Amino acid sequence: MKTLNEVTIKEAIDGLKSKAFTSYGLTKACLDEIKKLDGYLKAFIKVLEDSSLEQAKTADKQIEARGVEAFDAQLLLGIPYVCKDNYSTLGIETTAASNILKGYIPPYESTVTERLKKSGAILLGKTNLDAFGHGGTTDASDFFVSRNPWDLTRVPGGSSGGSAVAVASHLCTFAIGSDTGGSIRCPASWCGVTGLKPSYGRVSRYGLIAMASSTDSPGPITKNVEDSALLLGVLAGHDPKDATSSKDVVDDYSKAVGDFDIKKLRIGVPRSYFEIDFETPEIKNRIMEGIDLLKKSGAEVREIDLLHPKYAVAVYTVIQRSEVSSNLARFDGIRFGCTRDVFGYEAKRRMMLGTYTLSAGYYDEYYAKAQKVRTLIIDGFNKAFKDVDVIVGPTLPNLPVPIGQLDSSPIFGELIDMLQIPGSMAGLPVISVPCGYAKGFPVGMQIIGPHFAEGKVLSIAKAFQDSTDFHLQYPSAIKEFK
Amino acid sequence: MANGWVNKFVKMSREQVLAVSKLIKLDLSDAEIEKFEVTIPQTLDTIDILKELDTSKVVPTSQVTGLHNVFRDDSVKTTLTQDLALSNAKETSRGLFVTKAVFDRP
Repeated sequence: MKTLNEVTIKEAIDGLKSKAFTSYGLTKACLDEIKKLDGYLKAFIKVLEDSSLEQAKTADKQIEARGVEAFDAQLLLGIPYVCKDNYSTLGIETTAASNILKGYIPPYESTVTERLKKSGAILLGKTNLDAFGHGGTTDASDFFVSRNPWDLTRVPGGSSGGSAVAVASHLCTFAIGSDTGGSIRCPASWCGVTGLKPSYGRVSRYGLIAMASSTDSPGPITKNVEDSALLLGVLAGHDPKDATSSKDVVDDYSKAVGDFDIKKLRIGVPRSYFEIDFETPEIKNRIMEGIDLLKKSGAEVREIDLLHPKYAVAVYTVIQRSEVSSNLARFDGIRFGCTRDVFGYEAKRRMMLGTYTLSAGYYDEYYAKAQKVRTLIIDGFNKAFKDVDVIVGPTLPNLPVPIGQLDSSPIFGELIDMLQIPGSMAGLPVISVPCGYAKGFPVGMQIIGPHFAEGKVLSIAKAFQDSTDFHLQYPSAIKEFK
Repeated sequence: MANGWVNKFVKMSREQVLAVSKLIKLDLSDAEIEKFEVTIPQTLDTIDILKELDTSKVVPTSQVTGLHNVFRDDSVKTTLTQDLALSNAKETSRGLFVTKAVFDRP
């Protein structure tokens, strides 16, 4: 029997509608679980206990007064969630896990948190990340390291590590992350939960503290695919405050995952994604088993050729650091935040490289070259999608890294994210779903679709989850506290 | 590499590191400077593989939305109040931000 903090969004809505439980009960259950476990997990930078309980009481009054109709206008009424601390929240300290933003109180609300607020969701707290999103472990937070609920001595992945830990450990009903080069998918994969990076431009970036503006993609981390579909429906859509957000019609994602037939579907498996070094062959085996399962369900599987992901890593290293150096230029310590000497080493490292590759004399050699190879990556995907509906492969080539034992390579984060970066550079929708275990750690399988084909990506992921139970497992390292 | 500023496996000089940090107003410690002397060339070295690909006829991509010339109505919108805009400033004076002087007095 599930405890209240363990329910999915869908179950929460059903339970609140049928009055099986209250929003106060649901919110309190999550807060109690945070009190019990976050000392070990370190997922939260800030917990908003009082305001979330107040909001829960208000939600319960609305449900009492209007019954199920209260949910017509507010789909997520009374449902508690957590948000990565790089989304500006009006009146609530927002740090991006950086010392330079300590004490910063945003005077405005990000579009993502605004939409969730309007939908009735309750913000339980702000979660840890690699400072400014610069990393793939959450080890590079300026404050503290978050811990993987499958092994507390290992990192959860990043940069949306706190959000993934909170979902995997049932400290909330759902979470919001952001993905620039894998920052939703990586921690989702290592924590054994579902992470969706929507197409670039599908969800507004307004109020998200910018990392690399040409690939930053806000998205959900959830307990299953059905919840991701439901949330994307709330988050997606044009926002006049983000000129890069698309005016294209938002699909009914919940409907799409409900009536989908996997038969006749063509799945592409990129050879080059399996030619890289894996920490253990078990990871590859889990992915092949996952692909076999899709095949058995009626999908047709084809091997395809895509540009080797090592080129995407090089492109990303140049473009992301160039954009970081430009975005972090606004931190002058005059209008907000502390002075520039407070920047952490990782932020400085990225700014230094980015500034170098953008500077006169080196621009053509690095930045312009990277932009051209970016075109080749996109062309490769476009060509592949003429023959296949989606592309499936591993999310990561390795398992969660032990805390304090990170590789000293200056592009360690990018190497971890090698298989996720191509989708980011092309702005494609990608979901990572749990697809088994290697040496006792969760393994994630990513499904990549054409631009704005979130419906298709979610549908296949849902079909996969319908025939597996990896997403239902309770993390091993916190089982004793259950 | 271009202009011979950085060569494969060759450390950057202290002056080269400081020239970059000056552009972005970063005061680096000696330890950081020493690290960057090594890690910047190392990172550039990993990027070098891009040269293996022929891009002579390829158009660069700077964004993936396919959107062009995004306009909005030229109308007055609600903005932050002056108090809110100043609310995170360390130092203000008569409703304005206080900055360091950029000109020397004669």
